[in-house]
Amino acid sequence: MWDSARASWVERRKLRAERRRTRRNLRRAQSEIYVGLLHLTIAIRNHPDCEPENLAKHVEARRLVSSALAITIAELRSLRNFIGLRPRWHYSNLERDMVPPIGACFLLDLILPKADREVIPDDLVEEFTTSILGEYGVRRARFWFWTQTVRTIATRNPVCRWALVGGLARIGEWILRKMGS
Amino acid sequence: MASQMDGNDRLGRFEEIVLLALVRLRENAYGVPIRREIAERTGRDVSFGAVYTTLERLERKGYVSSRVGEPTPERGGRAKRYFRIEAPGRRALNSSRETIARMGGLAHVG
Repeated sequence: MWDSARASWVERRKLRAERRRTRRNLRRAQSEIYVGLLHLTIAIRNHPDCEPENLAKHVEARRLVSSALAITIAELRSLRNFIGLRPRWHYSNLERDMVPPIGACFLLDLILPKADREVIPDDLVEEFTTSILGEYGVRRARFWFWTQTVRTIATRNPVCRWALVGGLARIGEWILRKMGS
Repeated sequence: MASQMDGNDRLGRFEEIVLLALVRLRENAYGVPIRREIAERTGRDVSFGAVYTTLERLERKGYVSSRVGEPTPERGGRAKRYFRIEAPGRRALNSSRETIARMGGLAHVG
């Protein structure tokens, strides 16, 4: 009796460990699947053959990718329910993460000179979606976008540049004062 | 006059890198590939602001020209700004590289 109880305990422990591993892998996989499918969609859209005569083919390919995405989400949801994984974030949040930070875009539109407003934000968004997101992952990509925004504003807007220089000088002055006293 | 020309022809290090990126990219030289090319080949994460500031300076010097391309759906109907290296830019780049090559013979370190 003791032996069977012990075997059952060992079995349960193994199952628990397996479940933990699956949860961890699933958490990691779901963002990668999203980014992968997003890239596939972008690749189809940017394909050089995307001419009007081939449009039907491309629309069909994009429809297939979209349906694959929908099926994947459904599968992930059912798998998540099956193993009892509580969502760390909702899919709507994940979809929101796939677009660049709205605050940064707003800042760029607000502060950049008019000529730059036509070009630089779009370049940043293009780089974010086509390259940085897949390379760095959502969090680091969003951080990258913010740093690029601040650096671009500091370079392109003279008022901001001098405000930044003045601010840094004041911080330096304050540190020196503190060190002196 | 000649010395003034030489002074104007002098290129900064980053200007040279940007011009070389334009030479490599040929017709497809707009903000994103230029920044990517520089980042990949130099290992420096440059900002779009720095790239555009340099391109504007080069355009003022007459080394580079720009044109606005067709609006594209992937950019929400907005257009890209393409850049192209002009003949004075090529001359300045060649002259700068020749200077470096000439100095390379003398500055043999090690």
